[in-house]
Amino acid sequence: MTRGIVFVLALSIVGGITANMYLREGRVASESAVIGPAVPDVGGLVLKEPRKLPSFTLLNADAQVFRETDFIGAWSFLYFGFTFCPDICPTSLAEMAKIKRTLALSLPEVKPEFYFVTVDPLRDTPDRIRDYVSFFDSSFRGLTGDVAEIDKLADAAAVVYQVPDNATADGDYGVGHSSTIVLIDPYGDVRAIFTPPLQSPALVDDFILIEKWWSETQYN
Amino acid sequence: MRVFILILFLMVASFPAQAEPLVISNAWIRATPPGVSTAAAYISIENRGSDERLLGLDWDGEAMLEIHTITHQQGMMQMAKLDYLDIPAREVTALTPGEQHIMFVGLNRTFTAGETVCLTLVFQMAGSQQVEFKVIDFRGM
Repeated sequence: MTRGIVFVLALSIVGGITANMYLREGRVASESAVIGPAVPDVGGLVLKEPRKLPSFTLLNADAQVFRETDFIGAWSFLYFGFTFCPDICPTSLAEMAKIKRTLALSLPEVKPEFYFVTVDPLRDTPDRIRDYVSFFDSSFRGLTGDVAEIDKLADAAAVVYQVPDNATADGDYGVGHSSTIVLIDPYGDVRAIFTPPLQSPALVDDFILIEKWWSETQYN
Repeated sequence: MRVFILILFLMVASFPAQAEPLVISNAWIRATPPGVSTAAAYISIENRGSDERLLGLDWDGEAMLEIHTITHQQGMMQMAKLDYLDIPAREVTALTPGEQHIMFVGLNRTFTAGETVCLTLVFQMAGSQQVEFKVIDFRGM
């Protein structure tokens, strides 16, 4: 009987911790009970288990094929938006440019890549994306392509967006979209999703924690 | 009589403040990347008078000017056009990045840091007011 009560108690404690981990919104709990380095507590979600990207075929800003395997070898920061976006996207890309400049000083050996992925391929051609992203930083990369291919990457990155039904290539329309920065690790797996407000000082601190945590997990 | 003159003096002295209830600051336009047909402008309006309303904007250029706000719905940020913007009395109404802004739609030029652009703001009570907006390169901000 006593054993039964202890079992039920233990079960409810474990259940409570698990529920707590899932219920906490915005910030991910660092559970000291987890074996291995604790997942860092950041402004967003850190995925303890990497999320694999599906196969996709997009085009980069030079209109050359870009596949999921092209992310391998470096940390990648991705922002999904559209070039006709006058406010949120330029604000976020300017923050990404600041992240790049700050990390170049504080973690010079890491050399992350930065990507703008369009959710408006109807208007955002490779040429147009190149003009747009290079305004923020000459090294920034752009991705576009067929909607179905963009959706594969967007789904894996937990990005949602909505193009109006009556959108045309020469139309003036807005596209609602998630304003998150998605972090892909050097194995090409999704590792973190930063949620608004996207402000470079906090994101730099968060990235440094994640990079350190990730490096430690590689030796466990 | 002396008191009356004093009151009259105070009324006259305070008259200019009543004539300019809207104090405008931080009027700027975000410098634009090449090739885009949209842009955003920002402004702070301090209302020292009674409740006011910004009805619309005009300028010499081709693009339409709209007042926009940002809504957060179902994990998405979306711009929504406002028919007008309330400027409540004794408050500073600020249009800032990531929130409410003035949007240029159908722009056929770029805005380069350093230039100034004149926009006409149309208020319900105060009528039309011309405001100089500075184009700012926000990338280093």
